[in-house]
Amino acid sequence: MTPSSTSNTAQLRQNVRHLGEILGQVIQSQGDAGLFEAVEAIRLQSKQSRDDDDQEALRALLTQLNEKQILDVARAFSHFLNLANIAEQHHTLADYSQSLFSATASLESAFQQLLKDHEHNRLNTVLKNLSIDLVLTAHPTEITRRTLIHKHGEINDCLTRLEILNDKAAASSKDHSRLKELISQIWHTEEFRSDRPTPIDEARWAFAVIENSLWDAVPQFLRVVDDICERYALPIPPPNWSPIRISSWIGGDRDGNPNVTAKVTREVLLLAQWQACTLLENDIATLYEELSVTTASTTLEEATEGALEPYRFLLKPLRDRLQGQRLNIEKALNDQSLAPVPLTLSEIVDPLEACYESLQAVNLDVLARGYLLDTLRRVHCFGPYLIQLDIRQESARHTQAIAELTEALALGDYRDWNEGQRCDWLRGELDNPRPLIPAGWKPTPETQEVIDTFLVIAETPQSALGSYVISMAAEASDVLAVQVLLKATGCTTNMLVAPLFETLDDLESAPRVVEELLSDNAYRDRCDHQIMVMIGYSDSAKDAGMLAAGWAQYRAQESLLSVCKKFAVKLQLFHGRGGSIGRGGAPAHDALLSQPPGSLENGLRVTEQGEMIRTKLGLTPLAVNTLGRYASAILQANLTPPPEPAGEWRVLMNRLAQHSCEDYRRWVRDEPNFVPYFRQATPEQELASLPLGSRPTRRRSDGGIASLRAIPWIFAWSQNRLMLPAWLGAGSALARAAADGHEVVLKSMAREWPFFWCSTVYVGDGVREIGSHHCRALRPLTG
Amino acid sequence: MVFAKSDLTIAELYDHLLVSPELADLGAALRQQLSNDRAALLAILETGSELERDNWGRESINLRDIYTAPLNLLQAELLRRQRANPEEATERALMVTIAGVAAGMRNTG
Repeated sequence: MTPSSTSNTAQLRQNVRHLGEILGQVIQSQGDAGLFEAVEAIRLQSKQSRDDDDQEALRALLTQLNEKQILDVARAFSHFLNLANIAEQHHTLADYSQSLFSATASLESAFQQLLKDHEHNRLNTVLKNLSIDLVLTAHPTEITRRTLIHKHGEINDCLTRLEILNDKAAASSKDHSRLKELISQIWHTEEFRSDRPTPIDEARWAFAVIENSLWDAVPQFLRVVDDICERYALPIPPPNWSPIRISSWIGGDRDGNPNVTAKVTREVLLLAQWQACTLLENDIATLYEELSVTTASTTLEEATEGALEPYRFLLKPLRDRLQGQRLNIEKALNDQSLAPVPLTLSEIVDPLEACYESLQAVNLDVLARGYLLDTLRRVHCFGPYLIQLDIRQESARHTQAIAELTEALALGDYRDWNEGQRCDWLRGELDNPRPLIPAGWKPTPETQEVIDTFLVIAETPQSALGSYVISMAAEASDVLAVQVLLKATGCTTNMLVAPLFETLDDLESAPRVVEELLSDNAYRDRCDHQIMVMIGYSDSAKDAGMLAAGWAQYRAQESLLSVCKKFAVKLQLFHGRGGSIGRGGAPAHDALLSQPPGSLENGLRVTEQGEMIRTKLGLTPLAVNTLGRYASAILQANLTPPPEPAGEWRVLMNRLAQHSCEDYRRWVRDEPNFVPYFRQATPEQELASLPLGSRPTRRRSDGGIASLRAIPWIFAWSQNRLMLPAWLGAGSALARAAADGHEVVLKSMAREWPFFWCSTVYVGDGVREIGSHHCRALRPLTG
Repeated sequence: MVFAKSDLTIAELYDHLLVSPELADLGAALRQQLSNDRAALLAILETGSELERDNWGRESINLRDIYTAPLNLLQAELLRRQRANPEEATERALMVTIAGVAAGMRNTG
């Protein structure tokens, strides 16, 4: 989808200019004429310098600034860029862009396309199985302060209202002065928090995104699906159809973040319940107000003992129950007292469904399918726990915990055992009915923390939790160790334990590891014949370069699918993608269609992090559009899968991956000066001072590329504009292949194979849904 | 491969201001590699410029460049000062340029 294909980029340009002018006025009205003139002079010179391709004059101008002016000029330009971003975001939401970006447009185009080649029944089956699980993470890539994000959202609202008016009315509209007010507030607000957020702060932000955007976006998106189904004569999905799931890592992901403790996880789980109660209480209160209706089905009449207002009769105790629960949670949070027993889903759903069925039975569809339907759908999506919290911990921490146990049991040091010995012992323990943890065991504080986390899992209802993710997983014993710890601490052992494979070597051995696990009958039974495997995009790209990592991710998924098929086990792939290309990001639609055939059959589970939460889900209409894009791409991928790579493509891809990995590592690993160069040429060291997230930027503090998190690695290269993670290794491999006579095949791969297009030759900026016209196979839906 | 947001002139300036002479060759070699890679990719895509068919994409990047370039230039200079003589005011301005460039790039990590 190219914004340029609409004539309304004129409106976009006008909005960018308009917001920029207001910022200029705000600066001027501070009486700082000097600053305004300096900013203008620099802007004009920057334009000139770009046209002349010579930055000397611009540099000369900037060197004249004193310290205070440097700060002010930097702030002015920085805010201008934020305003331009708001205008662009607004462009995708504006009425005139509906035919390009809206969920209706995405789904409509998918339905049209798919119904050409497939029966209605087939589309309906695939639609019914649709599953999108968005996992919010606290990864520290969001640089914009919450208070500024809120003001940015308000600016978007003003632009929406102003565009409806003609120029004359717009000039005198109160939204015009409101824009000035907002931009003035922004100019006088500190850009940064003065301190690092705690994991609890981060969890509150995520819950605010749910409250402000997703709470409405989920039922709105489902209404879009209802409408499309009606229009294309497909059955309308029932009220309990719940294809969207919201999960979270915030307060559960302790990998490399010592600030996330068992205590924090417990508090976050309780906060999530509090948020769910609060939101549901409001919804039920509204329904109670509205459903004063007296006409009801016989079933409901009987169930409500002939009450005059049977709906209110059902809703009032529900509202009171939610309110009571909320107050009890508040008390538990305030005085650290015992948390109340959580509500169950059926406690909330049952009365609502009774209302729904009765209203349908007495032909009051208009009431059944109004606010009540939205509420029912929210309850099914968010339930009493709001989100499903994943737990993530590094594999080495489990190994250490098990080793401390085997030593306490006088069995020797687990760490000295080979993989076979480890697995044998762990499998034996999983079958062993006696308790594993000896009374009075005194583990190290690190292991106590690991055990305490398992104890939180044990006390938490299963539906409040997602999966247990093991980072840096390499062997079957890494998974079995977690299952043993689950069993030893009294948790249910069928919790999904998801190994995260995130280096090139680990991705390559992932299918073997999973095969080792699944070939054990007991394992398959324990996990209810399903397994979740997480693919790490950013760390593998940092390890091997983007091209080799992309191919390794692709092949790992292919092989995992075939291993799981062999054992008739349902595979849920979990994609740990970031927003930028070096972290596996690409326009959502193209990225999904570039996955191996079959990889979306059990739905999509993907991380959404940092600034991507803001840009994809931060406002209700943005979130609805994002869900529409995901849904249409999944339907398309499942009904009309992308081509499987033919022999020739595969051979060449293997070769490209090998060469690019060698080339990439020759620079990054073998060149002794590389790390010192990286530290000098980019602001990597200085990034650590930004109070972005609760997690430290390094895994360990001993330096070296391997110890550095993928996020600052990419962040730093995007600052000095070398953008190294987005290309290093790939181009030289392509050039070699072309020089060796493979040019024709390369060209056909770029034209026909979405994976190759997306992972290798994608040339957009990773933000806009642009450019896919280069790849024929991606064209049908993107126009 | 995302070249749209790379800028060799700016990368070179960072090296010039921040990188010690014995490491300068490494930076120059990486920039040369980027130029070569870009040419290799464009030959396969059979197109002159990555974004040539996407007018707003191009326009948007051009527009941002006007604002991002001064921020990059200031950042390189502020990094130099901060490393020579750390001061709170310099650090504050540096952080603003980092946030600003991130806004220009539209994503961070």
